[in-house]
Amino acid sequence: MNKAQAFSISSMLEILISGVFAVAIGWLLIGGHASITQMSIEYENERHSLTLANIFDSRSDIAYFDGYQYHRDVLDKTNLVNLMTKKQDFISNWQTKINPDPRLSENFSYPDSFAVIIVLDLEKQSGGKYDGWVTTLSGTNRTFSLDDFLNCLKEKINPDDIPNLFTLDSNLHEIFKTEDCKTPMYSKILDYGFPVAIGYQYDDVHAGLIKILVIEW
Amino acid sequence: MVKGQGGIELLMMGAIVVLIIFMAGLLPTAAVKYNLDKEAIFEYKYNKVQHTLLTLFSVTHDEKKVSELIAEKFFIDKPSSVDFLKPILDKQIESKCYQLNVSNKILLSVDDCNPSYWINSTIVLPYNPNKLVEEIKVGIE
Repeated sequence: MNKAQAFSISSMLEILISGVFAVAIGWLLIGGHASITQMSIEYENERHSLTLANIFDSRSDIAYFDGYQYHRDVLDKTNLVNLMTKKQDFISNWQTKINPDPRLSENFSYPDSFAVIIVLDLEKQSGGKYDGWVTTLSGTNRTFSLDDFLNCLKEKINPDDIPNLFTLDSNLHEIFKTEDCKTPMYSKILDYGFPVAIGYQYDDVHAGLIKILVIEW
Repeated sequence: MVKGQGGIELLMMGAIVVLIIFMAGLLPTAAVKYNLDKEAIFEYKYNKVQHTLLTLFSVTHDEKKVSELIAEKFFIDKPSSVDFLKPILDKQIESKCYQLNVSNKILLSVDDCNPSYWINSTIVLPYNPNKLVEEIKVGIE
C-alpha cells in the first residue's frame, strides 16, 4: 500500500466514525429527552390516582359525618349506596353501569380521563368475592371520544372477569382492557388499593379497600 | 507500525468513544427513571401507612372501637385482644408485613418483617392514671 492509499483509507475511517458519532449523539439527545418526558407523564398518572383516592376519602358526600365533623377515610355506607353501584347490580348490568356518573364526575375528575373506583368491604364476603361498590368517572373537558372508548370496553371486556373486580388481587387495568383499547396512559399503583373504613353505624365500622384505575389521554 | 494497524486502532478508539457517549446518555435517563420510580413508591407507601392508621382508629370490633381495644391491650395486656386485626391487616397490606407499637411496645407484628414506612400519632389510654396519652406507631414494608 502506498502513502496516498493509506491516507485515503484513514480519511474514510475518520468520516465513518464521525458519522457514527453524529448519529449516536443525535439519537441520544432526541431519544433520551423523549424517554424522560414520557416517564414524567407516566408517573403523573400514578400520582393522579393517589390524589383521587385521597379526595374521594374526604368528600363531604362520601365521608361519614357524626353530626359535628366529617371522618376522613370512613366512607358512609348510605352515601356509597346512593352514589355508587352495588356489586350485584354492577355484575348484572356492567354494560350500562360502566357509563360515567355525572354526579361524581363533575368537579371530581381530571380532564381527558376515565376513572374506575371500587370500594371493597373486607368483612363481608359471598361466593369468594367481597361485598363492594363501583363507580366510573370522566372529566367533562374531553378531547377523546368517550363513546368510542366505552364501546371498545364493552366489546373487549370479558364478562367473566367482572366478578373478579371484587377480589383482592384483581388487576383493574387488565380487566378494563387498557392495552386493547389503546389507552395512552393508565395507573397501576392502586390496583391493590388503600385501606379505608366503611361506616354502617356508629358502632359498626368495617375495614375495607379502595381501588382506583385512572386512564388519561 | 504494521500496515493497517493505525486504522484498526482508530476503529477501536471510535468504538470505545461511541460506547462512552452511549453510556453517558443512558445513565442520566436511567437515574431519572430510578428516582421517579422511588418517588412514586414513596408517595404510595407513605399514603398507605397513613390510611392504615386512620382505618385502625375508625374500625370497630364487637361494637367497640379498635383504638379502645388497642389501649386495653397496651395497659391491661389482655392476651390476644388485638389478634382479630391480623386477618384484616393481612388483607389491607399486600406485602403482609406490618407492625403496631404503642410506646415502643410491640402489640402486633409479623415474623421476618422489617417495616420501612412508619407513621405515628397519639392514642388515648383511659385506664392509665399516670399518662393519659401514648405514642402509637404503625409500620409497613
